[in-house]
Amino acid sequence: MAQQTYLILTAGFLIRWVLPTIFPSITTILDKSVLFSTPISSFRSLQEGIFLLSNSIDPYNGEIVHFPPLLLLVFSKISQLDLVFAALDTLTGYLLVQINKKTNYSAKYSSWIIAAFYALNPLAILTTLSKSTTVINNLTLLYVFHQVLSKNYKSSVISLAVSSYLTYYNWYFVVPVLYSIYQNTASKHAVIRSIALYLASISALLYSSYVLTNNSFRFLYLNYCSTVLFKKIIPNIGLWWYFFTEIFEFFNSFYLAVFNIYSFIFVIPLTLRFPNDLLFASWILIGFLNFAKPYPTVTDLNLFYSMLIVFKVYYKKLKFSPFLSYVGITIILTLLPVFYYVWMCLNSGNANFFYAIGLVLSVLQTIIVSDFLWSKIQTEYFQEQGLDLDAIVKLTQI
Amino acid sequence: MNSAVLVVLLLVRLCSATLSYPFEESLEFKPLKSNNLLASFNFKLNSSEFQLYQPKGETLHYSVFSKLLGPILQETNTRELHLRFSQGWYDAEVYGELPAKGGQSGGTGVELWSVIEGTDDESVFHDWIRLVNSLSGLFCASLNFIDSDSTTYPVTVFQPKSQLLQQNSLENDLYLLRSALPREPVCTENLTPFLKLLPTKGKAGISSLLTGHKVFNSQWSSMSIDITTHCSETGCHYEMDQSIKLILNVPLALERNEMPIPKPTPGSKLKCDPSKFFDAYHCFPLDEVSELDYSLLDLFGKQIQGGALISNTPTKVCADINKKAWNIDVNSSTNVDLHDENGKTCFTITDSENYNIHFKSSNTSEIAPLPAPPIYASRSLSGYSQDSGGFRIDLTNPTDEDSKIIIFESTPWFVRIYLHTLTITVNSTNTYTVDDPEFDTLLNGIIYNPAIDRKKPSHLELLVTIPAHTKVKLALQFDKSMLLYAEYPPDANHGFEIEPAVISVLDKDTNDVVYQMRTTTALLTLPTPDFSMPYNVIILTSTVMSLAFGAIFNLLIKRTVTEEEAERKAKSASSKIRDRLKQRVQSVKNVFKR
Repeated sequence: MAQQTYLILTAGFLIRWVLPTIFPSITTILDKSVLFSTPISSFRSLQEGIFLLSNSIDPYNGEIVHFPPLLLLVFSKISQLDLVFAALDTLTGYLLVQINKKTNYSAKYSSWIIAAFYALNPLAILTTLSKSTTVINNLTLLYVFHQVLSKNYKSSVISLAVSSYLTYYNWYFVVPVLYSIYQNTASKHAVIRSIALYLASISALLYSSYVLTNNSFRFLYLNYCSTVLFKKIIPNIGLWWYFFTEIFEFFNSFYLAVFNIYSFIFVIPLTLRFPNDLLFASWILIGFLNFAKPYPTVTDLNLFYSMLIVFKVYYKKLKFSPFLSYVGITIILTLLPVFYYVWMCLNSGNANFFYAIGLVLSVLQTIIVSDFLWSKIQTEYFQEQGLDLDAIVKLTQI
Repeated sequence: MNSAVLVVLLLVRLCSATLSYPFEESLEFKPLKSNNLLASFNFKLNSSEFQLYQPKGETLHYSVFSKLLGPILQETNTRELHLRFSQGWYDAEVYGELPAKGGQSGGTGVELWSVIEGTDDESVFHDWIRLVNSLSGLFCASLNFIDSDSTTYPVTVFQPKSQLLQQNSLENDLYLLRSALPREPVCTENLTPFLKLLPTKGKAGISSLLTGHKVFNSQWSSMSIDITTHCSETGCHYEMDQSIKLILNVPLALERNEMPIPKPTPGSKLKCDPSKFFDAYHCFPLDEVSELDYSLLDLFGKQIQGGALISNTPTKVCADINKKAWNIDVNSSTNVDLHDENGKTCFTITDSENYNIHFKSSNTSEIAPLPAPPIYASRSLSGYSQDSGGFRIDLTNPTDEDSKIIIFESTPWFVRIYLHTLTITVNSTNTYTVDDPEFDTLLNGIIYNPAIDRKKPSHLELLVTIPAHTKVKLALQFDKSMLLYAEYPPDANHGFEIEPAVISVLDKDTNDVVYQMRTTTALLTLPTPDFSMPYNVIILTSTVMSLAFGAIFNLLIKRTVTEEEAERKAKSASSKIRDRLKQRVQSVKNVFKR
């Protein structure tokens, strides 16, 4: 069985490696697509950063490069980008398999199904080929979950620090991770130690970046403030861009605050509501963030929909089967570039078409997230009451 | 009586001695190919001497130098000022090399660069903003729209012309700032203040020919002002070069005189090609006329109204013609002495009579030798979508020697340039990317200041070597940002003008700019939102967000029960309310019973 898993993962790796070598233009095409790239994470800005760095022009002088300096430095040393991205994404698949193994759910898929699901998932393959840095973000987040499940708390906290250094919104996962540490060790000291470790690692990363960029804190502004303050208004599949284009500047700061609070609002409630299943809470959080954050891409969606397969145990009580959700998402994801093309290239439609489909995507994700939540709540109730999951009991909430 | 005459004589003598100012003006006509005519008006004047660091409140006398400009330059510590107003397209293949080697012409719209003395960036920028605001009022141009988002600090081109840099007498550093407004329509209201800077004010001398509706009817026109500061041991003075270059299409100008409202040529006046079939309905028009007879009165609607008599050198008018095919005749009540000067036919004006020049040619295609430009360049936009695109610059070196050129580009912040996409194609066969070793042999240097949103434009200077008789194509990709709702100008779908690229040919040994030209402006369309949507977008987005919030919030907060339980609870709750209501009604009834 294990051999089969590795075989499938290797096949996935080869697909991810060979495809861009045969069709090198595929990365450019995907990178230009609105689904896979934002100014914050696109491969062409990464290339630009590397180019500027290698020509000794300060990449943090302008506003093209929004990557942390250490990431840029690492990538400027790598020559085989196709290989690296293929390896990173295969590692993500491997971590998904490991996470599935480590969970204690009563029903789960066998490893090779998970491996096949990720390795051959067209969405995952396309995200790898787009070479957006969000691929790395996905990997680090899964690594954090994996380390928490393996009870390697120190390494989980450090990897979470790395993850939040790379992407601003990942610090939200500090709450479930710390809570899980508290649950398992039952000591406040461990939590405080973890917080200290997290802060220390983040400071170390930021300080080294500070030194690396000639003692300038401009990278902080470029990496994090431009995300939080939504400085680059460019169409994407999220909710923010049209809102902030259209509102009057007078309200800008108010709504920035509202939108940022909105993205954070369920972090603590979800953790407190599902203390026994923090992986699920984190996963729902990822799903919520996918439409609550300023620069979502399909690569972010990919993390959510890939992790969906781990939660087989909740499929039973769903209103809409995961298959149905996948079909819905696929339809929307096909419509999005079409409407974008109609707006940007043909000029026969305007921004509203693309925006409307983006809204539908958000509604669909809301439905999927709340469906899973309700299924989880029902399953919990059945377990508490000692009922059989197949028993016909209609539940409601008051 | 005698003494009175003496005093008058003395006064006359004094006046004639002092009525001579450092002012020079000259006018030159040059017939070009395809019946075009280049007219260059040149004015040169000096201010009187002053101290560079004048104590505040001291009055200054500028003599012929404009009293309007002087204080502005003094107040803003401007040591050099270059201003260009241009419109139209200069077709180098027809018109040949730019007049004055391109040193006095600008790109479409308004262009301004100046050297300002100051202690630090901030104070210099503050002076610059004051300068552009003052000039905006003076020249009736939207120069006041110049801000940090369009100001660049050129490194290799636009270098100071005067020797001020070499002098140690300066108290502070010199800063070079430049900006351009490609969208500015150059018009009569810019010409009037331009002429007012001259001591003749457009009333006498060659400037009397210049009227707005004739000047801006030209194929191409460029007005320039260059002010430089020159210092000697005793003090400093400003030198101002003003020039207007026009390219007039003569048949068009003559036609306009006949028919001010453009109408199709009547059939009786059409000249058809006799070698082809023609009748009342068919006509292949003959090529351009080759015989022309016109005068200044036809071209400018005016004659030269005397010379600039206050200047210390007389007004000079020249014509650079091929004498075999052209004949020049000056109409004036005084005798005109036409003489040769470097192959040109010239005369001077020393009185205040009217002068009209007649140009007559039997074959207008025979013109004086036309120097070809050392470089041909054009820039175009590539790509078809509104969210990204590319620049393409085509350069041709027609000379026998390799030439070193500098391409200066400044693009607004909403054009997000990706410099790593730069490719160079040689003779449309070999394309080199930034990773190729050949790339560095063609592109010898890059100066790049990336843009900052809403604050700073991208500033790019490329040092390119073009081999002899070679075509080189540079291509560059960019993304377009979306602007905020209120940042779009009215008629947002018209697009945004990108200022011309400035291409300078360098001298091989000294690296001085020997020729300078500008490409045309580029019209860039940006993605536009639907401008009628703000209210709808706010409502719809907020609805979806609250929908998500509400759904998840409810699920997290509410208690889970079976449906029967819920119904029971609801029933008991409703029956309780009913009981309570009944009690109330009963008590009210009781009150009334009493």
